[in-house]
Amino acid sequence: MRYFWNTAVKTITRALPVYLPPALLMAAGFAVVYVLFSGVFSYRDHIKQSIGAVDLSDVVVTASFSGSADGAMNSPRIKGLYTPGPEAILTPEDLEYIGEAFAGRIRLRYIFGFVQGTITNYITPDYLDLIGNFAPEGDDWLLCGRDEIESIRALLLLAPNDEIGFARSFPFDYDEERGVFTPIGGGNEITVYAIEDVDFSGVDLSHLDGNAYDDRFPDRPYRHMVFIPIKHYFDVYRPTDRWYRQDRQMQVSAADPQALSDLFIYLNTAHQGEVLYSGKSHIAEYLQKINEEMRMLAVIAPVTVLVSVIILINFMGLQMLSVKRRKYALAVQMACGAPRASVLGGLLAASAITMLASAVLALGLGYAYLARFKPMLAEAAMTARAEAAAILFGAALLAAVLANLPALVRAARMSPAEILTEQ
Amino acid sequence: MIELSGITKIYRNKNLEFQALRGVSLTIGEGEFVTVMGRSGCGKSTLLTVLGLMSRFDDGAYLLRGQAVKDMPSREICRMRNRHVGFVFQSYNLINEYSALENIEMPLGYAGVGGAARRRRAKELLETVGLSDKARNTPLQLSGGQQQRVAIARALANRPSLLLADEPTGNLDTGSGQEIMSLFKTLNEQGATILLVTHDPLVASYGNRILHMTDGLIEEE
Ligand SMILES: Nc1ncnc2c1ncn2[C@@H]1O[C@H](COP(=O)(O)OP(=O)(O)O)[C@@H](O)[C@H]1O
Ligand SMILES: [Mg+2]
Repeated sequence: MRYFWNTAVKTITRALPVYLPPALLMAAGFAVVYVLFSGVFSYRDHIKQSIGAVDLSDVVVTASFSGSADGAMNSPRIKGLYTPGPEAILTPEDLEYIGEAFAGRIRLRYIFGFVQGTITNYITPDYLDLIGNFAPEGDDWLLCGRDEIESIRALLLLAPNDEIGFARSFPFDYDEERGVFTPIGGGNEITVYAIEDVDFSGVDLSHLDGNAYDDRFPDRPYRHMVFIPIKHYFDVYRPTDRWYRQDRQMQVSAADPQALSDLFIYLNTAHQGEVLYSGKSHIAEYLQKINEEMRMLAVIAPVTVLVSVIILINFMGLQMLSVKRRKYALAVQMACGAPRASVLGGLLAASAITMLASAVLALGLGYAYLARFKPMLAEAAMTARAEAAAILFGAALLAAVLANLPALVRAARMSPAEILTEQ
Repeated sequence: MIELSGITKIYRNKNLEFQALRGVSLTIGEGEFVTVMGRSGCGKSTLLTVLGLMSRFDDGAYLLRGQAVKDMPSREICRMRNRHVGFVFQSYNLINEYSALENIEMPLGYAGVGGAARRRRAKELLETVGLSDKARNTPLQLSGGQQQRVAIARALANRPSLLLADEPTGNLDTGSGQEIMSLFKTLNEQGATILLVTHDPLVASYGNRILHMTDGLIEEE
């Protein structure tokens, strides 16, 4: 074994004039590969970081009505025949399309609305989770404050034909005989949960209610909220209903920013600008930017790989030249009784050592370049990357193996005498 | 030492076939110095590479030191080649990047001899072939005769029981040729079994037994 390495090193050091020029060329090429990949990885990390700044499970999509708030009132609701207009926040068609086209990519959770008097802009996911946990069985539930449900019931009893506009906006009917809420047009009972029964410990309510922890204000705004499952929501909500215009939010979780961005595009197109859909705090814009960067990366990365492959192929050619010269030595070694495996291994080892030495040199060159110039690629500061180094060494080894493969395959089949007569 | 019976060898190149050995039978005993004569192209080198385990044969049986070569696994063939056969080529086949000493060390290295012992033995061999002062020279810094002596030293490194030489003087002037031949003579007198191939009757006359080869067949004299 010792003699094996002894031979491999001797082969390189003695044939330095043969090995050095290609090794130096390789180092230069490898340095380019290293710098390019460092750039790609830096850029990718920059994008990752940007995305990391957005908690995609926490995106609340806000729809804002762009028409006149005092526009035409909807025609009175005829029980059971209600169909949402194009201005509904989500039409049944929307839900169907989203279900098909975005299956697995986004998840709509709850629609939050019906806050009388209070504008609530922030609702945290844990809060919504709480509701979900509270009413996990399907969508036939209603969660609201006790006082609120009483007044809703009273309103529905009082004005079933929508004299004051409320009944039109509410997604359920009240069945006076059974004393329960039902879907519009009747049906199974909608279970009503009282918000007072929800265990809010562990939930930061200050998002919801600025005075949540102030005992001087015992009347909590969230007691006036009504939570309705998304399935029922499209059925009723219309932006022209002045009462509840303020808070129309879907909680959406998405696996990737592209899905969210696509959703915005879809919704905004489908509703033809009547309603503007966007993420909170310019999230849509931000995600859009990330998307553009990802698209750019998708262009840069293959180009980098291509350039690297071209460089590698050229090196393999150089390597093959020296391999050809060494086939004679292989045969002589075998004639002296070297086991075939040892001879072929030695060929690979010598080649791999040269390639790796070039890669080390390239690493130094590339690192120095990056340190000296710190070029900027878009907004991502380009820095030396361990992954790029790993690719560099991987490519060097791969090139060493590939360059030797034809010689190895031939030598593995031929007898020493055949190789020697071939020279 | 060597028992050959009915050895054939066919060279196959794409669509061309050439039968270089047509059923060679031959027995060589321990300590013999056999020379094989024949015209260029009659199959001498082919026979020698078969004997030296450097190429395979097609039909027939070959016993080397009583062991059948035909079904020997390739690792064992390498081992035999390394320990029991010394091969001297017409064109020396030294590695030009190695010094004379390093060339001689090769078979020792593959036999697993450690560094110090290897160098000691290689120096000893250089002395045997009279080149002690050329240890550090590379083959290109040596004359043809000197190169061939290094090649002989290399062939002798593991004290093989069989020494094969393929026209070892073919590339040398008469003087150097004679030096090489007396070296073989001495080695034979010291107990080496030698099979030497040549087309030169003068060279052949060094042997105790001279064989003739024509068209892939051996005929004893
Ligand atoms: N690798 C080969 N492929 C095809 N034919 C070969 C090969 N080597 C030798 N021959 C042929 O085999 C015959 C014997 O060759 P060789 O043993 O080298 O002869 P010698 O050493 O007696 O001059 C020659 O006719 C030669 O052309
Ligand atoms: Mg010949």
